Amino acid sequence: MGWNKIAIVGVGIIKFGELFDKDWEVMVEEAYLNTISNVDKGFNPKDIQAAWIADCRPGAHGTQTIAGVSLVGNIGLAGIPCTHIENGCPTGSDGFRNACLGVASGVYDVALVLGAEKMRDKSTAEMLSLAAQGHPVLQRGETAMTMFAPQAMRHMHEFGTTKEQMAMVAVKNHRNGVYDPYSHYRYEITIEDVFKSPMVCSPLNLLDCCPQTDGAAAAIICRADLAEKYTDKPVYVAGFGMGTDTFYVHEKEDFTEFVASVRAAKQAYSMAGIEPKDIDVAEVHDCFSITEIINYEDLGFCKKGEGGKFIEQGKSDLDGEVAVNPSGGLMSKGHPLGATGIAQIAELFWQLREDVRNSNGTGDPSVNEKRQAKIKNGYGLQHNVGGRGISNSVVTILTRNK
Amino acid sequence: MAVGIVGYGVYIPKSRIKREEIAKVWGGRGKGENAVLNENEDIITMAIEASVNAFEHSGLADVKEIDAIYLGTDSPPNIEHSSIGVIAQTLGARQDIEVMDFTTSTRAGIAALKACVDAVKAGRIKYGLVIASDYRPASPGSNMEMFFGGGAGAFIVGSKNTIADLEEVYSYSGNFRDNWRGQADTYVKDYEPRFTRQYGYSEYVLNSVRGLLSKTGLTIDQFQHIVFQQPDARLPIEMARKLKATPEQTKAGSIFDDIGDTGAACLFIGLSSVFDRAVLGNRVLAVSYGSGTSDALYLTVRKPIEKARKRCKPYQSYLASNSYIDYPQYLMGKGVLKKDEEPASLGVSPLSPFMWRASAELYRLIGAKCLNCGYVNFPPSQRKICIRCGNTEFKEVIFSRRGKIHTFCVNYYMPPGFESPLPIIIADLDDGVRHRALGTEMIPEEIKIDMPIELVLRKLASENNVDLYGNVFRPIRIK
Repeated sequence: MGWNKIAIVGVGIIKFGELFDKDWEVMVEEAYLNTISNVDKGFNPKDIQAAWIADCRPGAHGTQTIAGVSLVGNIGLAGIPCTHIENGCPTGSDGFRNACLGVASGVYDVALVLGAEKMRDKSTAEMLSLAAQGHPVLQRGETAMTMFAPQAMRHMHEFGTTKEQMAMVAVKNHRNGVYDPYSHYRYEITIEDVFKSPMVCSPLNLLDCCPQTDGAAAAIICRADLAEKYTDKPVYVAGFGMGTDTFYVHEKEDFTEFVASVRAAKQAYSMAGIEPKDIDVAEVHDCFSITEIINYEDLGFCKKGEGGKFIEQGKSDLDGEVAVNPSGGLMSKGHPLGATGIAQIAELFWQLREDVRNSNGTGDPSVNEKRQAKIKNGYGLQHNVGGRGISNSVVTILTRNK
Repeated sequence: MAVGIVGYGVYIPKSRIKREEIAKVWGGRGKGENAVLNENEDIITMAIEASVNAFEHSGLADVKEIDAIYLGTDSPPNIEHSSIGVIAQTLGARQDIEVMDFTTSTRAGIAALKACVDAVKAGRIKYGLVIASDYRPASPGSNMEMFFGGGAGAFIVGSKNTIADLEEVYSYSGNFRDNWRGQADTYVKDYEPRFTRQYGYSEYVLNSVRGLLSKTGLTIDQFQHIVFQQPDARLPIEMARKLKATPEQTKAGSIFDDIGDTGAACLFIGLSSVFDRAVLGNRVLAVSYGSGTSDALYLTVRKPIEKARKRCKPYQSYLASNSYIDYPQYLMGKGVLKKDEEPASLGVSPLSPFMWRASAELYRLIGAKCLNCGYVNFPPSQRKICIRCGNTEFKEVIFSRRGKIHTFCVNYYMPPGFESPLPIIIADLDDGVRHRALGTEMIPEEIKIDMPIELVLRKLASENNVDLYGNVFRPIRIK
């Protein structure tokens, strides 16, 4: 029996992409409206007693220099408490975790958590110029790619993981993304396409990487015992965990795993009282193809060093041992930092309810059905890992089992 | 008291441009080649590498034995602000040492050497480090572009265990202008060479040599080796002929065809090349020249040179370690050819108090070794609690500068201001310390896990004309 003190009663996403025509504020409003209109039995915004806004780099990426009010002030909820969360790539999922803690404390009954990131209001060169930030010597030249690519090199060296296996992750996630109406990219690719795409950061080609994407996503959570007011099919928070690691790259001990993920997963499984084999569906952090392969190992879906074989044998396919990234993952859907984790939670909400066809989106329901995973045990796992030095990770386990 | 050179070392940058490459662009004829700098090198980074070699060659046990650092260069990065600060911190020198800058002439290195020998003779210092490092700016298309090269040499000066003693010096100077560079000038200028060769270089060099011979009662044939300042290929040959010296005498110290006119560093490198093969009792004549001044130096080679040879990284080993570049690459290295875009502004300016707090440990690579678990925390100014065990007691350790690659990547998409492709290397040093740094002088396809590498200081960025330095990895260059 899991923790189950919190229920998710509604979720909402906006179509991810290069939203050149949308302000940050507009993305937030849309995600919010999609969420409250998605609550099965209807929802009165006055029920929201507190809010959390997850946005990783508002200063760097967009116009916001953020405080909590940037959310509530834009959606007509000014007055209620609102906190801004920033925590690297797990910003969205950590916002969700903090909202859960807030409601579980008993101080609030119902809360809104909304993640949004404006990634495309700056040029690619401006975004990359983050490589000049941080410690001027020890972090000189450090971008997301330069933190993950060395992991790929070492994983290949120690375990014989291949570039083909990495490309298979991209192929699978793009295949899934075709059927996700919210996805930034909706086309299939081949292993050859990955190899032919430009070398970005060896050994990663362009199609081994997730894109730069604008997006927003939200969820409404409440005390588990109040869920029936809003829906007959709530999804419960069975457990969560957050793991951290040291800050600088040179302080890392093992370049074949993300120890923060291992720590987060351990906490989450223990809190949920389940094992990795109980997970039916997972939305994991595939910022790069190698990341997903290492995630299989860190999250316990396979043994250390066997992540390459796991994808090769189709075990993470939609009809595999565990359906990983049915939404298309970061690679296909995009990775608007603050929105990513909450969008993953939204996807799992639909997956566990087996109603992806009814996800309130813009997609064709018959197409949506093609990404429904088989739900046997009723558990879904959400995972993010990142931050400078790949030093933090959040894992959330959701269940439809009361 | 006999005072002389206890140890010597050179540094020749790896990149070479054949003079015919320059001639292809601008016309004329080019024979020989120039050693030229990459964008991340300057006289400071060259000075450090030469100094490390000189120190290792000297056999001194500890850098802290050095009481003075004298630097001679005709092309300091700053007109106001000494380059010695970065050099001294990187070498790990004491702070109560004497530091002096010598500049505005291609004889600045020899001026520094003379001053250092005098300081030892006077008993004010025991060991001094004298460095000559130069890479003078030449305008594209100028005569000087065909000739100017970069390099550095360093001597440890002292009175014990000298490999060569400075016996006598004779200087000759006057008011003559052949090369000059005003404060607003980007490049060195020159006047009509047919005039300046005769009334400048020749006049002063011949007078200083003749003065020295007369002062010492020696004749030119009594010197086994002669090294002239080498602003071009012709002048030293002419001097030798006029002084009745043989080509055999000037052979060992002739470097112009290999690396070009290295200005203030020329005699240091030429002398080092001589020392690489000189034997006990050899007399060596070295003759400097810079804008109307020439010094003639008489040195004799001592016995310790034989034993010290095994600690030496010879000039020839640097010559053999080279990489030819074309004219556009050469211009990029000089920063003349670059994209018209603003480099990304640094998160922390090189002027920030942050760099003042951190520079010593970042340049010298000083770590804090935990007295409980042994983990080496870095950087120590930020790590007062061991990240592995939580202990708060440490011992200072200096990192090994060599190791092997643990893992790496090469980033092909860097923002403005960064070299691209850019290798990023995570390596385990020989002492077990793990370190992460950028790579330099690496061919992306050749980088492999377990490849041996070494740490060298390089210029990482500039902001507001202030340079930011840091250690980077390169494949081990001279074994």
